[in-house]
Amino acid sequence: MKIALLSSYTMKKLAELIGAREFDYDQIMQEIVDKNSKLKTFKPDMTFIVAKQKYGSLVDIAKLFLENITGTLVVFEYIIPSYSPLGINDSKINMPMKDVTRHFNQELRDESANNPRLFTYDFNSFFLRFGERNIISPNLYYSGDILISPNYVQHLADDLMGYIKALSSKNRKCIVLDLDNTLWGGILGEEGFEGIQLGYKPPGNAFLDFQRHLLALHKRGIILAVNSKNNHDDAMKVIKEHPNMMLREKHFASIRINWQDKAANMKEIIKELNIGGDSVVFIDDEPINRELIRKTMPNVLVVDMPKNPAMYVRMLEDMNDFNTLQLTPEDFKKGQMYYEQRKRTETKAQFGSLDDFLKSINIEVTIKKADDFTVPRISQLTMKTNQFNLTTRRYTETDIGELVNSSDYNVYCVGVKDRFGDNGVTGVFIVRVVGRTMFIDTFLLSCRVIGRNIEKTMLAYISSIAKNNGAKTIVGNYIPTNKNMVVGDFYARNGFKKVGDTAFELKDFNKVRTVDYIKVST
Amino acid sequence: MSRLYKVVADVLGVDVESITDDSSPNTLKEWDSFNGLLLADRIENKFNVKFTLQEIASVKNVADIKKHLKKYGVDVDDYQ
Repeated sequence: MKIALLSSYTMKKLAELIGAREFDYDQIMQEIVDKNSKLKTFKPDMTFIVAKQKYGSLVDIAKLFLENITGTLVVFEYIIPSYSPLGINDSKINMPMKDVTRHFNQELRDESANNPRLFTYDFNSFFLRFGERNIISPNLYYSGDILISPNYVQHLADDLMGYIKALSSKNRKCIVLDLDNTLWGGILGEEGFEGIQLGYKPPGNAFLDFQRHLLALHKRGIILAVNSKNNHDDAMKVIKEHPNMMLREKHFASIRINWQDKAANMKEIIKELNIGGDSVVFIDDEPINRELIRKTMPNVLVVDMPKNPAMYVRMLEDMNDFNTLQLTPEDFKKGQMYYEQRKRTETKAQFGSLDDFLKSINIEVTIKKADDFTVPRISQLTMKTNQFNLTTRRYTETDIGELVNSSDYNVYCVGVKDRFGDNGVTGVFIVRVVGRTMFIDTFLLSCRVIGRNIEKTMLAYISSIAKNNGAKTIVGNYIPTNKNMVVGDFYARNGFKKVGDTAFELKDFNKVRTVDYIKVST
Repeated sequence: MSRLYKVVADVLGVDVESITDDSSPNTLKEWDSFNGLLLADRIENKFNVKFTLQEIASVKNVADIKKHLKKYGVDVDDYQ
């Protein structure tokens, strides 16, 4: 991962802290435009630009960068100064300095909304959080053009790590929560339904606000789960019936309330949600529980929770682990979709065989060629899917766009729906016809829809397009990784013959069966 | 030993034994202009003083820092 920092201030410490290469001081335009610049040869994966206002239009800098340099760009918005020479009349005249600055920032944000490679850093929020007069030391500023005094550089680095973690897919997607003294104040088993603190009076208001912040994360696609030592029915009564609970049963993708140890519960939650420990954050007020998870599951991020509930929200705000480089419509529905999945599993338990169950839930699969609306989601799936992914080829949005426009590749996305709800786009396959052979470049399915024979339906569709294209052979590859063992025998199970180290081929297309209870539309 | 030496050594990331009143950008390669400014900032916070821009610019060695601190009533040699 190559990170670049281009700044018109001295930012030496910052570059060290985020692992970036710092390019020459105040040479932003030269590095971008010069055909042989060091930045250009560096080929950054991500670049941060901190410009002074003398550079004028930020969107112009951004556009030049995107034309000339590779990778994702993060531009710092200009600082809106707290001081105005117009004093109390600042609002009385048209376009004072502050408005010019705001205008430059707004133009940049508008461009960013439409360009997946461009992000902005809300520098003003940083200044709001820590205060202009703390951050800027006039001595450092005038002596060395150092904008951020040493005590605040780490905080700025933490913010920027949010972008870098997203780029390197080190982001977390699930928060596992304790209940007593975490979601509400007090111990339910001792203080009872009426006794716990959750409401509009202190300290209950701090817990309420914490729940409100968690709910906001849930709404943008972070999955929530419960891991609590409590009597199951008592705790569920609070979740379902307490008048002030913001988080209800439908917000939790997995619930483990019992008396077994928290590590065992955590393992079950991870299994149920089909995610890795490296996607999980654990929040629990008891140090001993945190220690247990830290020791037994080192890839779970265990947050050092403050003792004081008034600090809970701030703890959440300080986390930079939930960022993704794209937010798709699926992200906003994700919490809901996991809840539906839990309901599905509960229903499954009532059926004798899996097939009986699958027949009863009215699965509908939609297979469509990629278009402008689905390209971001397709790219996201290739980036994030680890388990049901035959080749684990990662494609950026730009890559997918190029494949869609090329003459020999065909990119398809698969939507899945059933009577419990709509999972949105959860599968992708990319095929390429060369002569009389169809190669399967990519074949993946989000873990949310594994185990419903969607993959058979996809394979049947591929064989039908192969037939229509006059292909005689379909060739698929299984490229093993640490995470995709689940599909190791996928091609073999579906009638393909092993013909190479990773290659499997199919000549008799009749071996691929459609699944009669899945309705397919195209 | 002067309690200033520890601060200087900390900021520059060098051994405290290597610091004397004569230490300067000429004797310590770690003491570049950037670290010199960080040093001024750390000393301001540590001893609760505010230097002027001129004072910062005029520092040639550790003895100069002591001289400026003394003006603000901070004697860094006053205890063991």
